[in-house]
Amino acid sequence: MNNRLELLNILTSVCPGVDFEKESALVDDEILESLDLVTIVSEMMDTFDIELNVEDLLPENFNSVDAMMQLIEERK
Amino acid sequence: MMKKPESYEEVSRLIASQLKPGVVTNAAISSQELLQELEHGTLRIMPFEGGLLLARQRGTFQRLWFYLQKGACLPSWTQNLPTVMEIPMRSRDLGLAEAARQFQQQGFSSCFTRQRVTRKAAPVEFSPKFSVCSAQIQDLQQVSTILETCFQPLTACLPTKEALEQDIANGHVLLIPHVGVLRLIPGKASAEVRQLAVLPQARGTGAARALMQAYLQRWGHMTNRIWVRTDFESVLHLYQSLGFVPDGWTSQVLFRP
Repeated sequence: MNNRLELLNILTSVCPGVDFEKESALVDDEILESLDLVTIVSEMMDTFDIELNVEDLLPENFNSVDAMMQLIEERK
Repeated sequence: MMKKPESYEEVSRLIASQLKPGVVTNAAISSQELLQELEHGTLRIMPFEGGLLLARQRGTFQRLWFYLQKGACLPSWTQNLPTVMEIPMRSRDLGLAEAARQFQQQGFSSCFTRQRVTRKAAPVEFSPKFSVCSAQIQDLQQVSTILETCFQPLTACLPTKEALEQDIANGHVLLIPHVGVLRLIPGKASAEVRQLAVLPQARGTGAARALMQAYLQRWGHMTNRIWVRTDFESVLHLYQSLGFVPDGWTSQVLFRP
């Protein structure tokens, strides 16, 4: 499965019913709540074998699928 | 035992080590908040097998955050300081419900529950009965007194004096002089009422509604949220009359003396 699909699976399991590909302000618009980010980051670290930390929990890193993919690629 | 962390890096590393699939937490902490607590010397940490406890000391009590791994158990509680914590969750957050159960087994009792109510962005037109103003710095003591009169410091998440000064300077505190206060936290897409306080002698006069109306006149164009105790029926009725509805989030406030 490609990385983007795996990421979408993670996001959908955390927050079902959201069309993530269409959203560009997931955190700013509070579609993703702050406690959701902990779950998402944990799953991302495990699925993609990357290291993230508290400083990465910024809205700009999680506002869109593209932003999250960029974070994943940077940390691989 | 809880200990003072040696550095921000130590805390950051410990938190990062908790970010594993299935972890549950009540900690939506920014790095800025962590740094502030470190600077004030009020942060305490206790890593344990399967999790991490962090506490913000507030003089006679502390507020607790936790990270708990899937299947992990809390260690036996040995703290001497009265401790309060809040666990926000949705109905699907079974891991958090289990964490709450474990804390209760460690001697934490439920003080009360809150539910979050949300009002979608909508224009408002009200004519408040009272004159509501934006608090000024010279009102700091009055605002503080009203909040302390109306709320229990243990469970109300009252701001520090420093934070309250900043909120007043930013125009985030509404005041009916000698009657009541509304303190809010605006975000990018929503605003949240953190405290709505009316002195006992002024209750039933419409002051709370006037504060809320003034707040909505200014911030009603955004989504608005409020956490309200589930046993405060008259306040809940007020919010519902202004268009707020439960959004599925509840929280348990637990305390261990």
